[in-house]
Parts: sequence; C-alpha cells; structure tokens
Amino acid sequence: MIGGASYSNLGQTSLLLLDTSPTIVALPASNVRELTRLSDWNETIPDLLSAELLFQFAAQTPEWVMRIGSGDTWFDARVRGRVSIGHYSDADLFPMPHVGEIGFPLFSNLVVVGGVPSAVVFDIAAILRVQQEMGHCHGD
Amino acid sequence: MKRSVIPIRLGSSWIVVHAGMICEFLSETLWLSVPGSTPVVPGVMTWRGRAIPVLDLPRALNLGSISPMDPAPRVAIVEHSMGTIAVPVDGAREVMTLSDEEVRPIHVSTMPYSSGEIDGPDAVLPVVEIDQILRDLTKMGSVA
Repeated sequence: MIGGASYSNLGQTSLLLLDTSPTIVALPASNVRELTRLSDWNETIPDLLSAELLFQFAAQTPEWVMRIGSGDTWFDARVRGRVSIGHYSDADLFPMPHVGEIGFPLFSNLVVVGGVPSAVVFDIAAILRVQQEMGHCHGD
Repeated sequence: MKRSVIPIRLGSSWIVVHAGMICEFLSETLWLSVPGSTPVVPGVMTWRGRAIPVLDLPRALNLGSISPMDPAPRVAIVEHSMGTIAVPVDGAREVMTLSDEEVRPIHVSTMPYSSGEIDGPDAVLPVVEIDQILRDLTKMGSVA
C-alpha cells in the first residue's frame, strides 16, 4: 500500500514511471485513469511538476495528458518525458524518511532496485490536496 | 573533560564534527534527488534496508553543494535524536580526542554553525554543530 491507495495486486505494485532526469518520479498506475497524447498545447492544463509542485520538468517530448486521482476526485496534468510502467514487490518500496519535521511530503515511497534508489513515488493524497486547493480537481 | 571529534573534508576545506553523532562511514554511495525538496536536504539514499534523508553539508556551510551525478567518496551516517541522516563528504580522518582547553572560542573561523575551533595539522579547524543545522532546518519546516 502506498499513500493509502489500493493499487497492489497479489503483492505487486504497478507504477507509471516518468523520466524527469536526473530523477524518475512515479505514480501508482491505478491512480492514473487516462494517458493521452497531447497534440495541441493546452494552456488550461497544469503541468504535473510545474510551479505548483515546485519542480520544473525538463523540456522533453512527447507530451501527454494524464488524468490523475482517486475515488471521485481527479485532475488533469500534462507531463513531458519518457513514460513507462514498472512492477514492484512491497520489498522494493521503502517509506520516504523524515527527521523531525524534515521530510518530503509530496512523496510516499522510494523505489529501490538492487539496493539502489531508482525513483520516488508521489503521495496521491498529498498531490490531490495541492490540486484541490488550486481548484484543479473535478468529479469523476 | 575529553571530547572526541572527527575531521571531515568538504572540497578543500577541513572541519571537525562531534564523533558521537556519527555511527558509520560508507564508501561511495548513490543517492537520489527528490523534486521539490529543500536545497539543504536534497534527496534520499538507502541505509540498512530503509530510506534516509541526505544532508547537503557543503551548502549549509556555504562551501558549495553536492550532486547525485557526482557521488562523494564517503558518506557519514549521523544518528540524531530526530532520526538518521546521510552526509556525503569528500574525506575523513581518524577520531581525535581533545581536552576542553584544546577547543577554543571562535577567533579565526567564519564558518556558519561553528561552536569553536581547534589547531589542525595545517590550519585552524572549525568545530561544526550538525545538531544545530538540523534544528534550524526543523524550525524552518524544511521542505515543500
């Protein structure tokens, strides 16, 4: 289980991986409803990792629109970069750390492959809160 | 009263930190930057089967910064009352045991977070309080 979302199947977790060099960020696959190729730039759709989430995606192609959310709360985000899917066991996913108040509140887990950290997984509840505050969310 | 310190190299600068906080040194270890994190705690690495934050000590001390693309030769694992944190460094020497008289008030050093200074083999070395850096980060709320 990551961030309270149920997207594990028989102990395996599927993650959508976005290569945002130098770091790969990931989303639980079950929290991504649609992945659509964006042919026309649409300024009304916010970047997933833009200023709202304090990270600027490297300018890469192709561009996609993802519908991200949980239950009846969803938002659309555009992403750039290579998109792939990875399947991981619970042992590959470490909870994100904190030291006192020092932490990484937008991310729930670290993906570790062969002992090496390889990706950070978005906390869906946290990014939904951010998007809701910005008025980007809509019903299912 | 005696106290133990460890000399640590950050780039071309040597500092000393309290030995009691450091539980282990790792050799070159990969870490991952985390989008949106504070510059002083820019990422995470794994240690003993769990993830721990990475402290950019050079940045906290105005001595440059670390990068996941250029792993440091050593990583100090710091145990603190608030938790465990990884501190990439460029080098370290053996523990030094000092008397109170050997740790003087700050006179030469201008490094932030210094509580005193000692005579090193070639220069005066600041005694840096990692504890104070972590407490300041906590006060600031640290990350986005």
